[in-house]
Amino acid sequence: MFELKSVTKIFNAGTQEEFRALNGVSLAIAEGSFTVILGGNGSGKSTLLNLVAGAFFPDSGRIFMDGKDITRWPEHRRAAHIGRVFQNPFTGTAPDMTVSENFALAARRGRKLGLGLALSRALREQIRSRVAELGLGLEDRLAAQVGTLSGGQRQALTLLMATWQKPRLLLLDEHTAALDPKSSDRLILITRRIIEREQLTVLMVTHSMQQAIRLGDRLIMLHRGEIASDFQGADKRRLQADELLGMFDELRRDDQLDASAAEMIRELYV
Amino acid sequence: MNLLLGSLTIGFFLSLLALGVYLSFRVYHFADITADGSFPLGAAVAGVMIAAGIHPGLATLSGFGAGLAAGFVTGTIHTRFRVHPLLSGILVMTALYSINLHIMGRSNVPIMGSFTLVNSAEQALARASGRQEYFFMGWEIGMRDLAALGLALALVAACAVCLYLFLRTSLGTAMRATGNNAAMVRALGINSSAMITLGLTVSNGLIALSGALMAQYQGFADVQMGIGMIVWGLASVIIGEALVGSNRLGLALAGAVMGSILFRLLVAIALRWGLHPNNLKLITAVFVFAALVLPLAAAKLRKEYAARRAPGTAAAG
Repeated sequence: MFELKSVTKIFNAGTQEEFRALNGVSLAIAEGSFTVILGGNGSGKSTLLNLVAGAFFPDSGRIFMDGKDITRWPEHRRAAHIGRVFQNPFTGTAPDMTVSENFALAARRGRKLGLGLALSRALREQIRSRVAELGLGLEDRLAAQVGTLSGGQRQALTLLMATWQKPRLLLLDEHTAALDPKSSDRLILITRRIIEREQLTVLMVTHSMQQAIRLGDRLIMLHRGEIASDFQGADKRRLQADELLGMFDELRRDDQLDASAAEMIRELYV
Repeated sequence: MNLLLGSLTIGFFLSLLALGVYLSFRVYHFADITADGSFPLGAAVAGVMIAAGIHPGLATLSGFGAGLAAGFVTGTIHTRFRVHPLLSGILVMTALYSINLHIMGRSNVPIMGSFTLVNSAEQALARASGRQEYFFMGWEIGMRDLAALGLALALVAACAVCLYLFLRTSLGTAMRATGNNAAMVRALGINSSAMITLGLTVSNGLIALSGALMAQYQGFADVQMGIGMIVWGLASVIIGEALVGSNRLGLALAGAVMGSILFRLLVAIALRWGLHPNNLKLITAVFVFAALVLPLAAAKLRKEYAARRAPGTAAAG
């Protein structure tokens, strides 16, 4: 159960480049829910995710995890409970280390690092069987350096690493954005499978309308740092792509006119 | 022959320096200039303790401990205060010059006749063999040289194995991953700052250990003996990589050791052949440049040769 209360984030405060990325956003994420966040550039969706992950702290507002105030917790402390897959396929894995070694670290997420051998035989077996479940043939390449794998393969591995131990929250940060369509589809299939099997709580940021419609049980549209719409349950299931596109366009059209013109048009035509 | 033995021995003692530099430079991509300060720090601490009559084993360990502290300071300055890596090392190195002078009380501490590890090894060997020198292929080898070499070999082998095993533990693997991708490590719940500091700590501990041993070998600790040591360390690591051609952990560590020895030998041979000592640093730069460039050139030649032998079947580019 995660909760954001009136969270605000301003970049470059006091300078010419001042930018209010998030403006007093409040959001409660229920256990077991799959929330998709959709928004255009500058809507604040990545900022929201980074705030939950702890990459930086909000300027005001609070973040709670199961009732505990984690607003000032550093990133690595939250990471014990939060799994994360980044947009950049190169960020989630260590390229000069082997697949097995990467998993050796993922398997110890949240636990104290000791002087025991990182890769015991039992762990190697576990890694082999769980990587095989991905269905990508990577179980034959466990000794390969991760840097030799493709972006899609690395993202699949990052996803498995993030969910190796069931996290309290899985953050998916446009994780298929940098992949070709085929790898992207394959990764989404794997993502769904893992989420359903482990009954994970998920917060997913995407720019893809398709993914927003097809995935999750809750859709939040962000616009200019605020929540523009929030569809849950039956409402979300009923959403069609063209409806969503219409809403998206409307918000973007607002951006192209200045506030007074937009207000005038709305009064005239709505 | 003595020249050869001496170079080998020094090469081995300095390979601990190379291992330390491997850790900071190759694992953490951190060119840690602290080495120029922690090397004589180890020598100063050990030297002063040995001169005071303290057991050399304890003195050497204390030198190691002092190096750990120096590395910890560099790591903290970098991670906590976000100072640029090079600057962090330079700050600590600069401070250590004065600190080393304070520790020794003067610029040089002689320990030639004292109870040192090298002297005990020499005495032990003389007692065990009952002789004063050996003959090898017609060359006469002093007991001291042989004992020193044996000691160096044993210590370096022990340290290298320990380091290798340590880097394969969960903690060691997390340290290596931090140097490779700090963002990932944080996302897995590991404190990347602590890992960096730990790495620099261990690295400078090894470097100081190298200094402590060198002081015992050469018979004195001197405040200037650290100058340029980071360059020796980097040269050893780079030459070692050119020799070994792999970046897998075990081979890379062995490479660093071999690089240190080979480098020392090359310099000794160059000096023997009449290279003016003034040109030593120039030759060092040339050797390192060659070590950096030759592997690439060799790979390119190999590819061109393969392409010429089987045109059309070789991969492009």
